[in-house]
Amino acid sequence: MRRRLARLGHAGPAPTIRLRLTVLYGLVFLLTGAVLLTIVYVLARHNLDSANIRSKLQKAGLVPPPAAPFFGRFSFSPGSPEANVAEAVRNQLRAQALHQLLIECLFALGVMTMISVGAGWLLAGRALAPLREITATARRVSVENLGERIGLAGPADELKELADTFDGMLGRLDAAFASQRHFVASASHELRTPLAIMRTEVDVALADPDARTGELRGMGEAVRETVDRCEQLIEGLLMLARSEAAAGAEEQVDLSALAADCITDLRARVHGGEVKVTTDLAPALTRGQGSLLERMVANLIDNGLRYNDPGGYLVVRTVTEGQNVRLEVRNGGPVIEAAELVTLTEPFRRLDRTRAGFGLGLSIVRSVCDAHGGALRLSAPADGGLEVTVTLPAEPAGATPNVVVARTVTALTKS
Amino acid sequence: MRVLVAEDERRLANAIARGLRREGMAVDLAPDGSEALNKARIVRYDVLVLDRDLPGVHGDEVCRAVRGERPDTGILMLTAAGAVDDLVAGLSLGADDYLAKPFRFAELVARIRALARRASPRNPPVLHHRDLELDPAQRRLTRGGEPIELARKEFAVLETLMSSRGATVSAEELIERVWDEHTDPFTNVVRMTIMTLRRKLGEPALVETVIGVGYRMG
Repeated sequence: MRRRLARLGHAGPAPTIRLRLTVLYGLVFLLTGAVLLTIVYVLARHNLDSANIRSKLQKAGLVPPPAAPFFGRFSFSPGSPEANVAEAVRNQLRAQALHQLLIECLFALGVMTMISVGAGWLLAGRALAPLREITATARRVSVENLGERIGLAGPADELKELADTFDGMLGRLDAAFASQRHFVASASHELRTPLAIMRTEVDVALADPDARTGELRGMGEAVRETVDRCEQLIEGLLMLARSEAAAGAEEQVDLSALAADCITDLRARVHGGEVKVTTDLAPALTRGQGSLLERMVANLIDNGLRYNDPGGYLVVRTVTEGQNVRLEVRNGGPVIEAAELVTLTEPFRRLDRTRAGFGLGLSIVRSVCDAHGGALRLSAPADGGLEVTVTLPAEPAGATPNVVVARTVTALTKS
Repeated sequence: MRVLVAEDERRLANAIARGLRREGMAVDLAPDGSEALNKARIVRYDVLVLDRDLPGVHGDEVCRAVRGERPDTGILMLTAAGAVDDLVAGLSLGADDYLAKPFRFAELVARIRALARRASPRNPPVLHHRDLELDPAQRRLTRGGEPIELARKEFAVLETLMSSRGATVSAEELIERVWDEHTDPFTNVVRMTIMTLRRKLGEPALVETVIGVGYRMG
């Protein structure tokens, strides 16, 4: 026991809460014990009072009235010297009994207080053991070691709740760090690969002293294509960073106009008529940064076209519903597993790595959506494809239309 | 020397293959992990240049499998993650060497040659046979001090014959070591190359034919 206490003493800081709890237990016990014993003592004293005893015995019919002799054959007539002596002896006996009672009570109180202090120390230790476990885990956890959990077993009490909350926080931290690590690793991969391509192309071309013009041109074209790719990647990363910061002037934006603009633009550029595009664009006024919202809408529609089946469908719908505006983009395509769906908005996640792109599109969408206080919902229909719903706060009607809407309208009439 | 380049980035793979072929190596390409595994199971490659982040079967898995099934194949891992942790992880999976992207192409070639030499440790960096001296890294051949110009395939055939130190090398083996997967194994390319090689090496003849078996240095 002593060894265990010594070990505990070394294991952590001075167990002040344990000590305080123990003292508290002891004091409470001492106090209630003292009150209880005082009551017992007062009652005993009251009951041993001869007048009281007599009146009670009389009530019970066990003794004759005061005139009759009290102690049977040892009765004395009141007032006689014998009676006085007897009274004195009784008083003496009563005082002795009360004194004895007092001593024994105090002794018992002392012993029980000591026992209760000991028990209190043990109980406090037991109750605080989970706290020590939580402290030890918290101390072990570091950035490299976020997989550690307390996993406190036992009844669902306050300490279990604390441990579970702590575990939950560790889980969220772990996920956040993991996603950051993934981001850094992916960004470095995506940036180093084009560098490697350019470096190899140039090295291989230059290593041949007799390289022909055609070969050198091929190298130049490869490098240019790779530089284009780098530019797209850097633009995507900057857009992601900008949308996360979301600083800039806000304006009134009509999502339906943005969507119409993007569809006209992308249809001409990306797929031609391969994908059947259906639109249902009702005015959907919201407030935000025009360029970010434009990129969000463009990314969604671009994704819908890019990850579609040949001859597939794309449905774009905007609508105002009460306090919110909604943009829905639904497209056909391969069936997406639920587990994949969750990771789609993480940067550099691509369903099909053989296709072009960096996997930043939906991350930017989520980021823009978050920055504008909106909600993003992804669902995968059982027959394949993806359904994305963006809900943003609506701009109150009657506000003056602005530049972005005007621009998209002209773009539409031109095309 | 036969090399498999397992790299999913098409442009990078093509550039590497072009450069290595000019160094006289026979190069095959695999755009994903499963194809890399299949090819490594069929052909005995001297060196496997393996991108760690391959789609399909991950590069780590390919590395482990090839290390288990083809202990003689040198594995050079390419990776975009250049941190020490990745290096340690890659090497502990059985890779022989590790190169972070972007790399200098000359370094890649030097490392591939070093790996191939390690696979047959008896061979010195420069091969000798009588008055013939062949330096694979410099791609230089001299006979009695006089330089001889050889085409890539001729050079590779001669290098293979000299590396086998007088043992007979079959035509099939030459096809496997020197030509890549696009070569029809029933052509007479080996015979034609040997003929040109003999002519360029001059007299007295050094490359012997073992009838019905193959060729050796005599």
